[in-house]
Amino acid sequence: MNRQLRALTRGTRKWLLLACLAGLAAATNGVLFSGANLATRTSSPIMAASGILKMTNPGAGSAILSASGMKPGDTRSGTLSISNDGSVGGSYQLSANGLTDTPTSPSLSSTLSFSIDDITSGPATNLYTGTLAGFSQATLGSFTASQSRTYRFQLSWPSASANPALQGAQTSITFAWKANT
Amino acid sequence: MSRIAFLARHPRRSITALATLVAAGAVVVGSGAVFSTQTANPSNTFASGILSQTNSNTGSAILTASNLVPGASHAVHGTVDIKNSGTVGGVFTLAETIAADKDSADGVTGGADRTSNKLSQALHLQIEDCGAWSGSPAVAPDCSSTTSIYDGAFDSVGSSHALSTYGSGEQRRYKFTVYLPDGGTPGSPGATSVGGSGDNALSGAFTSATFTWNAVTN
Repeated sequence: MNRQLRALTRGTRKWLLLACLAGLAAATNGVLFSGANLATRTSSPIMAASGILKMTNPGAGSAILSASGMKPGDTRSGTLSISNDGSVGGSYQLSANGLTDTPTSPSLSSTLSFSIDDITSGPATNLYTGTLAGFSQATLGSFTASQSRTYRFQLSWPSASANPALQGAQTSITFAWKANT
Repeated sequence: MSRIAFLARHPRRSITALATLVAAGAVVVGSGAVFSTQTANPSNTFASGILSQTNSNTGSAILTASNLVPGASHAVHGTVDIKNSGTVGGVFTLAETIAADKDSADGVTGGADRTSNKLSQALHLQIEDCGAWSGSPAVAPDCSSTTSIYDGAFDSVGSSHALSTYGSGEQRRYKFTVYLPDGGTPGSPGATSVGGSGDNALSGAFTSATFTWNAVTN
């Protein structure tokens, strides 16, 4: 009988051992390592730079043309090159401001014919034709980076506008160049 | 009287007790005889999983935005594919580190360090999850339908921005969009946009940032 019980006890131990192993195996199935913190990483950069819009006007601060001593029938002109020396393109615009006339009436600016042409290459492209007083602004279009354009400014005193009251008259105007991206 | 002697005198109780033990032991104990049996599940192997990832742009930029000008219409886009190449799932997060803020003379590369009017503080960043690669062979999502991951200041993604949990082998595509918000036309532009007021203060600037995908087991 003791032998039977010892055998029984041995069998029970084995059963318990197997039960424990089975439980351990079940616990290991995706659970045992869940508390661990396996980690990995990768990296990639982003680089960004803003562009530069830069205008070069060799005649900045000085007159495009000075038409002194004009009389009916005369024509005077001047040219100016404008460059975009920046790294990005821009939309360029020309505007006029600060128009002054002496005398104010009759005004020389209302008598003089004025034209602006793009003479960069090929046939000239007219941007404005009218009186000097009537000019307010002109759209010059887009300049790519490093692009340069040349403009001709021309004043004419029509022979038919020989008003004696304009003798000694003066007019002045400022042209401003502006570019936006 | 010992328990053994008691059982010897009462064989029916002994049989009952043994029957109970047999039932409890299932297939282990057959009878009172010294027969025994056992089963085993050998070769149990316990191996840890592997969590690893691949990055389609490791060592190369997700996007390079050169000569940026103000306006969302000038946004620059780039994509990156991140794959859980390991054997276990992982929780993925995204971290950002601003690497540099510099001047730029050419609208492309960086020069001297910049201490104010930093481009990293002005840019806008959008990060979208285009979804997982699918099919066999796997095809990348076309990013026509995305889930926004981040939409805000370029330098504010943080160090642990939640993405998603990747299954083993899962690969996802992210779309990055960068642009310089339009602050309106500067009031008093000079001959050059660099160093002026408004948006011009951000002209000729360079920045770079590093985006790191971190993953831990879930």
